[in-house]
Amino acid sequence: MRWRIPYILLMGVVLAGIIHIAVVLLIPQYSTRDAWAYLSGRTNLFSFTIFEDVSQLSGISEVDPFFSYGVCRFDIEEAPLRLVGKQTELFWSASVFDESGKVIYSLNDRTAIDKKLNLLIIDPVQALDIRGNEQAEIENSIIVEANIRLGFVVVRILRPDDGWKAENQNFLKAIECSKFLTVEPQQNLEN
Amino acid sequence: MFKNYLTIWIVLAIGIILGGGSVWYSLQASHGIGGINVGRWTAWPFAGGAEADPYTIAKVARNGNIPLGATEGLAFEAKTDNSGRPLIFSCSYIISGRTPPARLWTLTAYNQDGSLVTPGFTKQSATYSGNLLRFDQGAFRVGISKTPVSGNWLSITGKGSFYLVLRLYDTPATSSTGLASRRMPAILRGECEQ
Repeated sequence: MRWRIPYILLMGVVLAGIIHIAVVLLIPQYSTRDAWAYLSGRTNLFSFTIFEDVSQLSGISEVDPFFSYGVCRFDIEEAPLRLVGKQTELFWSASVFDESGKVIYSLNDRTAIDKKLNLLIIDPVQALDIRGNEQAEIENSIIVEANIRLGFVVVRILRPDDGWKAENQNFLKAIECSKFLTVEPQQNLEN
Repeated sequence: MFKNYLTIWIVLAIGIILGGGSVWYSLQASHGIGGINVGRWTAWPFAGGAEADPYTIAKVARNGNIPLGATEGLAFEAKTDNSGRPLIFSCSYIISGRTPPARLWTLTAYNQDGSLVTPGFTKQSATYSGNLLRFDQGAFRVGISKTPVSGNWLSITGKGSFYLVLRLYDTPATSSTGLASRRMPAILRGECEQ
């Protein structure tokens, strides 16, 4: 009987530890507020969706009102993603996220080749294919090898004031988010 | 028999309260796991990298925000003034000092739920480094209040408390060497409404 209370407390603490770890690991899977859940419902796979004004992103917390956002959602199992943009005077940056909201890769205009957005997101198997036959088309692309299936890219571009609105919008409108499908035709030629 | 049931219930209660509470605390507290503190500002530099720890990932998912990638920048959050008092709408504040080096930065006020604070007079309850008046050597001063102030002004309206996020874009502060020279502006409380 003397050991009953310490025993109960110890069991409680052990259980608390298990619950703590389980909850922390399960939050990303079951969180209904997360950015992925919100954006999935408002964007299509392999198409670039522009959120010109932060008021259009009401489900995302802590947006920066000095930026416009664009989202490109992808499924690498279906096809590699190619994301291409043009040069601009304005600061822009982009991050590649997996489904759980983890950043896989990020860049800004200064770290991009020629200050242009030019990304190719592929899985390790597709990477082998592409290495096998180098293509001029992707010479200037930053190749991101990601061992994931679903994910999204968020592009942010500065909007210092309304005077820059046109430049800001032109940049976002020119962004192409598409499947990269040039590997197969080449194989056909060989046959 | 009754005693055994009681034991199970007590163990369950301790487990759930302590387990759930500790998760809530570790994700909620501004001194959370994975965070770095500079004065009253807290940043989660690992939120933007592939090596993010489970706590940081859970925090991001729970908050519902889109974190900045390490190459994009770093966000610092402040919920209290320099004396440790929560930031409240009925007081005015002065943000003064310098930021770590960055190509540009923005300072934004948010309500407790992460939505943007409604500005009173200006277009946004936020300021951008490119539009600021500055002193010599890059120091700056931004007034945060309901009523207009001279110089840089971040206009707010609302009830209760708010928090600030200072985002440094394209900054070396995200790298380990950049963290060595950390300096963030002070948050000083001015006059309060009665």
